[in-house]
Amino acid sequence: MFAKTIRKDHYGYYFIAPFFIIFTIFGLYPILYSLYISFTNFDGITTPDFVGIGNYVAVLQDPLFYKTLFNTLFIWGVSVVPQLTISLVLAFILNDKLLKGRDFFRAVYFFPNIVTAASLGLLVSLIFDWQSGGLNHFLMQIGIIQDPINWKNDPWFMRLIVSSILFFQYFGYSMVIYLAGLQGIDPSLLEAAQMDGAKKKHIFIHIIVPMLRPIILFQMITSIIGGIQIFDQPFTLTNGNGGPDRAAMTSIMYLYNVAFQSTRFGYGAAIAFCLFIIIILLSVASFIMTKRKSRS
Amino acid sequence: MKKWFKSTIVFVCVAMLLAGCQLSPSNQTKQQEITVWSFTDEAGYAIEKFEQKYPDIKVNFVNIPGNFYITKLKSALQTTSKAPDVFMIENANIRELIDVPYLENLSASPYNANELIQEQYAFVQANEKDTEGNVRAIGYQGTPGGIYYRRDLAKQYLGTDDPEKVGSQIDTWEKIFEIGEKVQQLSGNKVHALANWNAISNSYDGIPWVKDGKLVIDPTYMEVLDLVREARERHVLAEYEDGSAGYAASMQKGEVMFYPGATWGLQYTFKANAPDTEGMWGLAPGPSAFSAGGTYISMYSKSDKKDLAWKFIEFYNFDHEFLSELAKEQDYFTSNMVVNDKLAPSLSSPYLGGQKHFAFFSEAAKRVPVYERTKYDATINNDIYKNVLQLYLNQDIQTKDEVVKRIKRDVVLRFPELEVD
Repeated sequence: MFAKTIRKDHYGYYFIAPFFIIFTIFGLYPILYSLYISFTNFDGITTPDFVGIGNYVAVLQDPLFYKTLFNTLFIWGVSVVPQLTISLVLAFILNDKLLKGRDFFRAVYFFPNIVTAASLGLLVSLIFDWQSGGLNHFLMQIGIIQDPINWKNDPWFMRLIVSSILFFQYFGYSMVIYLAGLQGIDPSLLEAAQMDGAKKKHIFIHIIVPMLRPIILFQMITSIIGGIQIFDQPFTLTNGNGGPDRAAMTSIMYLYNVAFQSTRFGYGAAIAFCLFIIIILLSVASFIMTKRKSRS
Repeated sequence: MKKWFKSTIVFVCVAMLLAGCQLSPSNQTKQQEITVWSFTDEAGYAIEKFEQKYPDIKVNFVNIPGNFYITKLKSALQTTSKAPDVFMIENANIRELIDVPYLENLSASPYNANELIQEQYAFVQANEKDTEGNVRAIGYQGTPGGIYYRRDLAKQYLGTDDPEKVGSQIDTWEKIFEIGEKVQQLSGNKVHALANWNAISNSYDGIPWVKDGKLVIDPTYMEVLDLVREARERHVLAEYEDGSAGYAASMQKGEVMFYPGATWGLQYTFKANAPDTEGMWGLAPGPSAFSAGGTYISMYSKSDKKDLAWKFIEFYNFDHEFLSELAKEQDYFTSNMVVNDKLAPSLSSPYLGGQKHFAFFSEAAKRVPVYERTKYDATINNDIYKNVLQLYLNQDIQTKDEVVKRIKRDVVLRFPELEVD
């Protein structure tokens, strides 16, 4: 009835081959080629010269690289903390089956995620415009200010604005992921806790959060990767120049400017690989921290 | 059975692949083709006229708008098979590309462009030659600038809208600042003399930053720092960011008196942003003669259709009949001095209240300073200097010494090969 040996036919490879072929051509090859370029002074037109680790040394000595890295981490940090906490609380509240209109609010909170990042950046840019922005007009009409405020001239304000856009755009997405995680928690656990007299606050802290730890880890790692790659919002908000003293220029914007505006592909590729290493380090650190917490 | 089935499938697949590779039918008409790349669609008119004149040549026009044009062009020039025969280069990139060997030497025979470009303005010629003095690109566009002003505001605040009289009232920045203070007060902060600080600094774009491999900071750039600060302090600026919605709307609403702009500004800036203000504009010379932008045509040095490519380049730059048509029908100011001088007495613009704008620009073009620009200038000016200028304007950098230090630091980082004191 059953075959005595496992048939080791090669047909399986044919089925998985398309993915690997496409990945090799459009994924692996460009990555390896970028790595090669990062060791050259390729400017897109003249024959590239091999410069060894020259580009990497230059990146590590480049104050603008550190500045954009700081901008990125600041913008990411300020947006991600409220994003992951508020969305968790919202998910917990909207998971309550007895709550009226919960489907409506789930949809409403998710809406900002559907709007493209570039349009949000542009919209906010128009609102905060110095002379023709909606906010200044409103504040002047109700008499709070006499002269329009140049909001976009303040470096810290610009960074906070980008953080707010990111928060606004992604808290709904995080909430949906948490909601999916909450479906996986055994209701009998929650019922048992309720019967033992646990309040909602205690259930949230002692059951929901520990049970959602893998989801939180997933959210942390994806937000780190996404956070380092912030581009569209500050780009449209600042017309691509990074705002006052490049305060809202993120690392990827800098990479884009170097590689595609100044066509210094070698240097741009070196920045890309430095960022790649930073993402790996941050992801590993986040993984270890979450593991340690779950052990303790 | 199984083998037969497999062979059939293999045969069908191979047949399908080969079907895609069949040779295209031979061209019966023997029409020759060239490929032209550009970053704007304005070449469409020239191509249409060129094909009318040379019906045996077909031009395949590829328009790649946006920032990626130059990246795509560079990679295409490297891969011989996909490169265009003729391509346009924007003023911002011309000096960066002028020494690249993929640009055909047009000074050589049979082109002998050195003689032809004598018909063009001197400031255009300066950009066309590589570091050895060979012509590698030819700029068809003439881009001298002037001050576009609203006639209604000029009448109200200056007592006249006559271009000559207005011109004499705005021939120094000090005079413009005085007008700016006056109109700001009289209008209750609704009308300003200039839209933003770019209006001042852009008038000096082009002054070289590098000489013989060494950073040289021209004193004019330091004077501009004082001017922009003074303009802000005296409320001369409406503070509309360039290209913003407010900036565009100010043209229609009449909130700014003077906009320095180049020839192309008439079509692409003023008519586009303020279409309902025909007849309400005038042109006058400002405190400094300048040019902004410009488009250059080059030939691919490895093209196998150089004769056709040259026909097109020659047509677009030196065919007087075509250039006159282009000027009349498209209201386009070209770089050809001979043609412009001929048209100057007759061409006027209803949008500019019937002013003879070709006469104005023909004169302005002859006054534009001629600079020997290097491949570094555009980046140092736009990315480094303008950034530091904004910091100085906003008082984030207090002194000019700090400005100089900052410029030097950024230049060393960006161009380590340059000598910086």
